[in-house]
Amino acid sequence: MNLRERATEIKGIFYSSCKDIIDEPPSFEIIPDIKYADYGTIFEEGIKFIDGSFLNFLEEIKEEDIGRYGYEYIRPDTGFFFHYQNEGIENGIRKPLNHLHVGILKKYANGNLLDYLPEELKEHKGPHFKAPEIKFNEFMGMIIVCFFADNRSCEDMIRSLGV
Amino acid sequence: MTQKPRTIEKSIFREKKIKASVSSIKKKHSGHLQSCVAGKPVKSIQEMGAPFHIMDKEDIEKELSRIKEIFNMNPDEFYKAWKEDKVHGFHALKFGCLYEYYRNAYA
Repeated sequence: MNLRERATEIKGIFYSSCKDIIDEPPSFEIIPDIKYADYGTIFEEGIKFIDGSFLNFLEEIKEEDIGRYGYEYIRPDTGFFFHYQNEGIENGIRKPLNHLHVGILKKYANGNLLDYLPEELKEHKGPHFKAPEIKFNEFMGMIIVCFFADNRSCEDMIRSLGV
Repeated sequence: MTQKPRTIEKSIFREKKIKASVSSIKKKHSGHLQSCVAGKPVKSIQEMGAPFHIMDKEDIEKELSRIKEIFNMNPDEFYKAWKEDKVHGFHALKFGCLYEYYRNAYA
């Protein structure tokens, strides 16, 4: 997989497979690698779904594979988020290479809710949960079955994503 | 075997004052990319007709200027903190990647 091929796949997910739940078709920023045009980084923030939730996306394409990645899904109505990532930094069980964050973002949480939450559920203060390396189509599939299960295209989207 | 967080030795923004907001980033089209491997031109991402914007130096500097707003650090302080696992989240990853790219390409 090179940068162009991956860009085409990403476009397919948002413009075809999952278009029924995407509020506004996103545009993406790309930084081609300085040495190898086939490598590079693709990212975009605030890709909005039809219910007001959104995701942040980043992938680094390197050596014909996905290297570092960050897939974050946020629900502003509650502040709930989950974030799978590989930052290319590994520090034993303190920070497994592939890990997951789950919690509530203060920016979106209702003030009263924050009073009841333990600190470890706020922002990224909880553990770096060790997780298997996740693919973006799997990440999208999780969002669909958890938050868009009632959408008439749910099964079609899951099928199209191949998950 | 675990990999210890690394730190960098020199600043990439010693003489620079970067000030801008992301909303001011201009969308520009780039030309053909040159494949360093094969030495032949390859079709640019823009020419795929896809919604992709290739960032240039100015765009990256504008993005990196948001580090102050989000993490209240200068880019060098931020990068060190990121490598030492003191800052987290999507923006930390994004700015870390952008910082490394900028350092390798322009510093």
